[in-house]
Amino acid sequence: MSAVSELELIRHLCGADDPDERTDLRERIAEAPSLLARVDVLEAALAPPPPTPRWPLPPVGWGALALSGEARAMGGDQGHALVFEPPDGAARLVVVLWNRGAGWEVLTPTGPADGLRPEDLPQDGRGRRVIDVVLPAGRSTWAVALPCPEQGPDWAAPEPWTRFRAALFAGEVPVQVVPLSGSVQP
Amino acid sequence: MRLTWDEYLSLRRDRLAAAGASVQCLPGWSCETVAGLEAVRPGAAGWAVVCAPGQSLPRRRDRATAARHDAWLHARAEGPPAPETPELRARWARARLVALGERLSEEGHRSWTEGWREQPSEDAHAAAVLAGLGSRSWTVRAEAEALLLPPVLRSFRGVCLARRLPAAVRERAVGELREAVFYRLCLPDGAGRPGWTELAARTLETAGPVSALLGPLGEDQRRRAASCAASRGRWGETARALFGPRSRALRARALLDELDRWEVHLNTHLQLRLRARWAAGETDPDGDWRQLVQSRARARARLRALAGERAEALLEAVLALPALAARLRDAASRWAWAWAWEELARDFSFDLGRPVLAPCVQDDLIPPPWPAAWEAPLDSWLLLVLLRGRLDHLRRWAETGSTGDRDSTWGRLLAEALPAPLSAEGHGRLQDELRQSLSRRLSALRPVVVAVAQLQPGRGLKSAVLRILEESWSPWLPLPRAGFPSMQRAARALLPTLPAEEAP
Repeated sequence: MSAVSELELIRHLCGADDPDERTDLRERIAEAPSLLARVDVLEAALAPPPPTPRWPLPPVGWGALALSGEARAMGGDQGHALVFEPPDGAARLVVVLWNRGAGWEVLTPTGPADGLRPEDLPQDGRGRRVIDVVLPAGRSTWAVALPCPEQGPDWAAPEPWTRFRAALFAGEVPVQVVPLSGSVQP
Repeated sequence: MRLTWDEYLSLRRDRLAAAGASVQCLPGWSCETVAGLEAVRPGAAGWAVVCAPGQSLPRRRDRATAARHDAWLHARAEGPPAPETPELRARWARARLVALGERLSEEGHRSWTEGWREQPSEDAHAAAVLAGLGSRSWTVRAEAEALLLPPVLRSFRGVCLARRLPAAVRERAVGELREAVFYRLCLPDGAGRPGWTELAARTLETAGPVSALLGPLGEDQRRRAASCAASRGRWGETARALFGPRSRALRARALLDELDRWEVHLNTHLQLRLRARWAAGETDPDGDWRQLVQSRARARARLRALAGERAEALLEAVLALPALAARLRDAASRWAWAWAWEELARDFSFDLGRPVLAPCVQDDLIPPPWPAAWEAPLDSWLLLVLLRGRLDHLRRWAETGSTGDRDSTWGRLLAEALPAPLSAEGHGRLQDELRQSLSRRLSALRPVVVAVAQLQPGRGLKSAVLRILEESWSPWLPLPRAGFPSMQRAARALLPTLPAEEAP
């Protein structure tokens, strides 16, 4: 009689085993008190944590904005820039977010006074807009979104970013995500 | 159903009785029982589980399913070594097949197809989500996530937990997954197929884990399914066992002709796999069931890959299922489990260009039908082979690829007389065609051979033979110029062996 592995048990608890494997596994669990105790522990570990607000950004490369991360010479040092092409002539805001592994944070804008429009940014030789960034050590992920003003943050609301998140979720905001790697400090 | 020990012992006796019955198909199996079961080597424990008298066995107090009783007994039973007689070994194997047949109809089929609870409002919701995904509508995102995110996230958490990933890594992966799910479902991957087709194929499995997946297949997918089965892994052996030692292409064609009996052939495949396992002395009942489940899972995965190519047909089939929400959520758990392992291998990069299920890259091995324009050249050449007395050479060559000798007449027939169209693609296709149609063609040629055999020998023989041949001779090969007496001798010698003319 072969033992039930932890992997089999977890798969079963997730409902990810095939139906033709389930009856027997249920019986095996029922006849082994040690497995029943293990099930309780695993169920607790599988329970989802309390929900946190989402930034519904697309997976890397699957957004609809032509955005790239490029290395740039800045004096004697190497800098980085986020370079994008505004999709149309509509009035838009520039929202930049980054994720260093602990979730998305807004870099700009942080309040009603520092809103940027694409035309406020410098252009490179190909007419693309350029945002100079300082990378943290290691891997980080960056997102640039260009909401229309009515999709951008509502600074008068108790949760200013709710409107922006909803527009992102609905796929109405040109946005793109790129991974970048900064040099690791010795 | 849980049985008392006495009920279980009674079931064992019934199994043995069923194993001894003279039937083509054992209970629970849709295929004829495979031959060669006397090759199994059950061992003492395996033998005791099936055949030892009830009073000689340890006794279990708890109720349990028959399968759990089997496994319990296998872990404890001791008995004399299994008998060496082939008949008893075969009977042991048949009794094990009866036991597994009980599980096949119950766990192997009903567990997939029954017990899905209808929830009219949620089912309508699920149908709207699938239809929306089918038309790449972004408006169903909230509904799709409400329905599918919980099972998908749980499967990802499960894989992270199984691999003991730190909580921070787990939550990062799950956070990125949450945003990736809809993109994966809605947008096409690198092979051009959106993820919802994989999910829909897994949902369709709940209508009959194997047979339902055949429904959406088009002709191209059916041909590749048959080609795949004739070629891949252990299925190649099964195809040989089912359709004999013909070429792979012919076995594939035979499988294609019987593709709607896939479940039956799958059962034969399962029995052959079990026979091989038992012949290696592996008789643990849990391992037997695992073997069945895995073999069926592989067969389903191949069919899912093909069904996924037929998005519209797949969607139509899935939308017709009752209790759609329950089936879809269940399928999402299984689909996401497979996806999570793929992502784990790539550090949760969520490269949505890669499909979760590898697409089917099987070539279509089945040749197209023999062209009508090649009929006359082939029949003329066959007639020449017959009149040169080389039918046996032809048969050996068609079956094995060689005549086994260095006969110069046969060599000339093949190298010089074979019409160009028949050798343009090499000899393989011609050999396949002869394996399939030689008997029919010989029947059709019989009147010509009879006519030649019945001619008067002598000076007029050549012109008489040519008159007969010219009636249907193909311009692709020259008429014979010499050797007419020996042709007549060959025709006379052939008559008793040629098949009779088939009724039109």
